[in-house]
Amino acid sequence: MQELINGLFSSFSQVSGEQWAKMIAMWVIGGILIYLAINKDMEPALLLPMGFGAILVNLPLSGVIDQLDANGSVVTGAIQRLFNIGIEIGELMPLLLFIGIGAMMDFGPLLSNPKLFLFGGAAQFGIFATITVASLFFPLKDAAAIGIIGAADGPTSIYVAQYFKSQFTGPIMVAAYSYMALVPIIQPPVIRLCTTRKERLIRMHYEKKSVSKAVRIIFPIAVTIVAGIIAPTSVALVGFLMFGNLIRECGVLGSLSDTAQKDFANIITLLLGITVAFKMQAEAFLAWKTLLIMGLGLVAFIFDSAAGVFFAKFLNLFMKNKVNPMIGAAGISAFPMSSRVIHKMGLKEDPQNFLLMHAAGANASGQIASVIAGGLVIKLVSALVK
Amino acid sequence: MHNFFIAQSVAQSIVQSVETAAQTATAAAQPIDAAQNLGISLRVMGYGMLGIFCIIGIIIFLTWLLQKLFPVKKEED
Repeated sequence: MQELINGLFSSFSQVSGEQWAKMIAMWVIGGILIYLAINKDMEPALLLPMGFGAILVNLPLSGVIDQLDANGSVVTGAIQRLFNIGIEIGELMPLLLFIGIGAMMDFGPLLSNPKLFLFGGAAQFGIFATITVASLFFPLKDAAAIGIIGAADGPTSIYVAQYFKSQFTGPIMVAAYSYMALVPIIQPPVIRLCTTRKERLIRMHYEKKSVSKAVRIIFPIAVTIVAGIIAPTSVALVGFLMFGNLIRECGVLGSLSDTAQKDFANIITLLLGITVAFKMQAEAFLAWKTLLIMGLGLVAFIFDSAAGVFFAKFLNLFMKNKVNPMIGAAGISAFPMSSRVIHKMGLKEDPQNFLLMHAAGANASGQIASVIAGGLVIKLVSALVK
Repeated sequence: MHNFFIAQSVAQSIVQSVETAAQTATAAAQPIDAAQNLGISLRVMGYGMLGIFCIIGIIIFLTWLLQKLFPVKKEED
């Protein structure tokens, strides 16, 4: 009987008081993520699995991560195994998720007005500004992984963090997805601060232009080839995104396109959320640097939005038909949330100012530019840091 | 045979974990040279933004070219 009781409560004796305190802190953090997902509707598809996963991996002698048994042999944990297969080896899960995202993207507004591509490029400035700030506190590879929070793109953040084998993958993930959900709260004050009311009232004429099916089909192939030649490291990210888009646009794979957009993307999202929780073990997560990473993530989103706005103002110096500078802030990858935010801000200033299609185009370009930026960061940091 | 693969996989994951832990420990032990990091990160910023705009410039040109080569047919419109 005594042995049975000892066996049942062995975790109490094998875990120190300090470890218990850290684990309980992680349960609270997991609970907060679940609360934000359910009650505040903040990226629930990811924050809920991550929150629950944070609790799972922080139970004493948790069976979901590898443990040694009494004989000293390893008992494999399911989440650790999922992490090793799905993320550690080849960053598979984030890449597979890009097939689903690509299948969801409609590049039509962007293809009909290609100059909107420029806003996607400008809004990636936040990534590089944040890398610069983060490099004052972190080794450069970790700083690069932290800066990618500014891509406003969860899978790219995971991909780059894992590529650099960053020890901060957990906090980076939490920051990336939290701030993506907070775009409607972060962007409006930044945009208001960077623009005058007169600028926010600029109306943009929208002329509906059709794009031929041939262009829609060739575009993803051409972008993959261009990105692959110029920045080969970005080709995995860009290629999977464009493969998903090709499935959508080809017109003969309707059921595959539906599957990629819905079931496939949902399954990967579900597994990704609970798998990245492996990186939320108390020992690594509970550090002052986690708070610093959360702060730097906010800096990245602020710089992204401000850079997009100022770039639009810069373009206005040369353009006959002025651009509403708020469109520039939609150049981040948080699709379609950012374009909706800009559209609502435009309507608030002037109920007759419909910016949605322009913002959607800039937002779609942000999706492409963010994966290109991810590839470039990998290439440049790998080359410059020995 | 099946057990062999499981054992091999577990061994690989342990080796990976140990390597990652060793890299982490090494990285943590190294002091951060902020001035050097700043210089490199500013170069990353310069080359990175230049690279993005170069690629986007090419994509814009390609899009324009595709629109010219494959205009919308009447039945598509």
